[in-house]
Amino acid sequence: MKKFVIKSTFYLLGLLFLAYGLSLMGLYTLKRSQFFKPSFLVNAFKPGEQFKLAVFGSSRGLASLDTKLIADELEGLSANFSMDYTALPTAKLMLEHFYAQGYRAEFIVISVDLPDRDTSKTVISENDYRFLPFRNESYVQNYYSRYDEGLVKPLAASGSFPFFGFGYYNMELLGPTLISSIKPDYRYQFDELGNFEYPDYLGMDEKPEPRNFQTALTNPILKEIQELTIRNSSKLIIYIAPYLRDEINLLESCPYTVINHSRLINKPNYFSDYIHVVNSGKKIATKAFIEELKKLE
Amino acid sequence: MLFNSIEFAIFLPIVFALYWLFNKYHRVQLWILLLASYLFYGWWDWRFLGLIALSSFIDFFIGIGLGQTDDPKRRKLLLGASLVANLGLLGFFKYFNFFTEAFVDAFSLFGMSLEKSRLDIILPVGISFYTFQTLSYTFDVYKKQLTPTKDVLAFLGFVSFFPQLVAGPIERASHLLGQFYTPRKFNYSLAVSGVRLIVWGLFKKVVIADNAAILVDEIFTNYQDQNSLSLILGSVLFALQIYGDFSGYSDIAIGLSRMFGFDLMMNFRFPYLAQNINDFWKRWHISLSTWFRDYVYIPLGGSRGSIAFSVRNVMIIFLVSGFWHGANWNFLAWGAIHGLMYVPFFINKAHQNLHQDSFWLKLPRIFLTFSVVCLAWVFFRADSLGQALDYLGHIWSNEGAGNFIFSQTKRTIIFAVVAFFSLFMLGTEAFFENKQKSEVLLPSKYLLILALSIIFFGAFKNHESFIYFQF
Repeated sequence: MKKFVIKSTFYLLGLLFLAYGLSLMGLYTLKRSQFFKPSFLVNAFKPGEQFKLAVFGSSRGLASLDTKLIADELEGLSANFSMDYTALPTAKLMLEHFYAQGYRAEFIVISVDLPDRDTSKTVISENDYRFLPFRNESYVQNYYSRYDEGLVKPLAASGSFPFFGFGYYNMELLGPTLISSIKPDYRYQFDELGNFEYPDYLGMDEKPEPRNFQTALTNPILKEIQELTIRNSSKLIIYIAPYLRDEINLLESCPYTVINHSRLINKPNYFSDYIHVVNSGKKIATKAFIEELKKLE
Repeated sequence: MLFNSIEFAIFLPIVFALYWLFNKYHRVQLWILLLASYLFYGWWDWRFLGLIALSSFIDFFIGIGLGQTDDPKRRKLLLGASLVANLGLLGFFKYFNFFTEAFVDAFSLFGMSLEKSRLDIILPVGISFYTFQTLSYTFDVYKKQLTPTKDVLAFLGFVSFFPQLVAGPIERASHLLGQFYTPRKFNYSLAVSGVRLIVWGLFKKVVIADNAAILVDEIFTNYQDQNSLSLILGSVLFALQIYGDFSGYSDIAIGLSRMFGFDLMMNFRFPYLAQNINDFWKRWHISLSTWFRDYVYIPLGGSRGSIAFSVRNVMIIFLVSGFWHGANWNFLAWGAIHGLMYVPFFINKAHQNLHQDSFWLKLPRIFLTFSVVCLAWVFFRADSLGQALDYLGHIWSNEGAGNFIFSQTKRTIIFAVVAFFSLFMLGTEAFFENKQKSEVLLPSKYLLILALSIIFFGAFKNHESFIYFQF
């Protein structure tokens, strides 16, 4: 019995040691790459870079604003750090990540979606694992501890045991690790300024019945974002990207500077679905955004 | 509680430590096992603990009754009572809705319309397994092949033994019950072989079955949009999923039992290396097929008659076996397909001397058998008979344009992982079969690699229950 327990413990510790080493290597490779947005944010720009404008949000922020067009129209560097399959808490995390690298921006654009207008769910978003290489940063630790779910909380546990997170998200991380080890500059579906686009051929044919919502944007995370931008001398702009179906009307009590383009585009061929514009829609949305921004300057 | 869960990872070391701490107190060990087994089972739904206790007590007292009388009428009455009670419970929980609907449908054929009423019945996990296990005890006592036990603690432990409680192997009292009577000493070699089997079983479940499940579920849900290649791969992946899932469970169950000093019967012997369907059924879910052989096929007359008589009995066994899996016509179709494929080999006794041929002669036969098995699995996996036929129709017509696997990088990676590790699994099995072994027991250094592959390739995010729990 004693021999069994000793041998089992020996092999278990050996296994944990190997798993620890391999996952550290994997996460280090990803940390040095540009594969996912959090690593791209760190490695694609010079330390302490001054941005004219930086966009944060979900796939809607990603699909609607073209920072190349913005950079052409406005002087200065603009980049899109929005990440698909995420919610407002992730946008705040990315913003913390942005400031933590010593970057500064004149304008911080937070793209807000309908589900996040007044509250946000306290659940982990699908692509939050992409912050795993930065799991030891205090803001990432706090985020994972607050939002991660389950008995083990694999992302939160990754601070001490990185193989929990790496193992849980293995199918999402193995391929990128392999690619990043060969080609560290490879970016996953976005350009050198973080832009992604849906091609025009995905445009829809039918227009749905419209829906109407009223809000004062009372989500407390927006308040936290506002405080963060004030501390870092940035001007906060809340951006509501175009919807095919939904109209969002802002109440007067809304305390933020908002560019509300929820009803900017009505034709279905500019949308790949009810919430994402295709490339031609993106151009319209970005031009309108630039016009509004010029008024704010 | 699932074997591949955190709860079980906490439960097992505690029970293991407590159990061997009292290795000089046999009765205490039995109590620990019984309480652990009831906790393990009650973790799903504590209300069903009463059911398993009821089933156990019925057969325990019927066994005592059978031991006290030689009167054939009274013995038949007691056997009948056990059958009514056990099959009644099984019938109510598993087959009530099926028979109600079939009854109403039959009336509608004669122009009469009856209202279909379904009961919202939750199927108790593993009911088909422990019901068959207790029944086998009563059959054996009835046939006087087994002395009825008077040790209620041992009997309750035998019925509810947690490693094999919910998905087998379906043990015979003649093999397992006796092991509960005798004190156990910790056996290092047995425990180590148990750990090896557990790691191998976990690998098959978490790396192969659960990853394959991600692809299979989507392909079967959206089969109408898929092209032939995607549908063929869907059926092959399901074959790998169900094997990894079920044989993985069995390996873990046998391995766990060895850690507690028990020996369970083999349930799988490398079935995808079978060279015909007859050979396949000597390797797949052995505990169930031998149960049907001993308690249904032989009492029906077995092969003691004309060929037509034997073939009839074979077909009955396959249909009953299909129906055992679930109250659905597609399971019956699955059983019928296997029965029809089995009969020609059964008549020709073609399974004999297959293993003396060279590997290259075996390979086409293995491939052909695997293809037939994959085809039949479509009926097993589909939600209905109609869907299964439609799925096969779409393979033939190639109407769909989509290919779920190759349309996204992540899915292609999952497919590559399943394909690579499945080939590794089958290759390892072929290696052990060549060495005339019936189980895979890898040396420690390979186990370490296997455990690493579980961590880095396992589908933890797609945490699936075991398929056979629903039966």
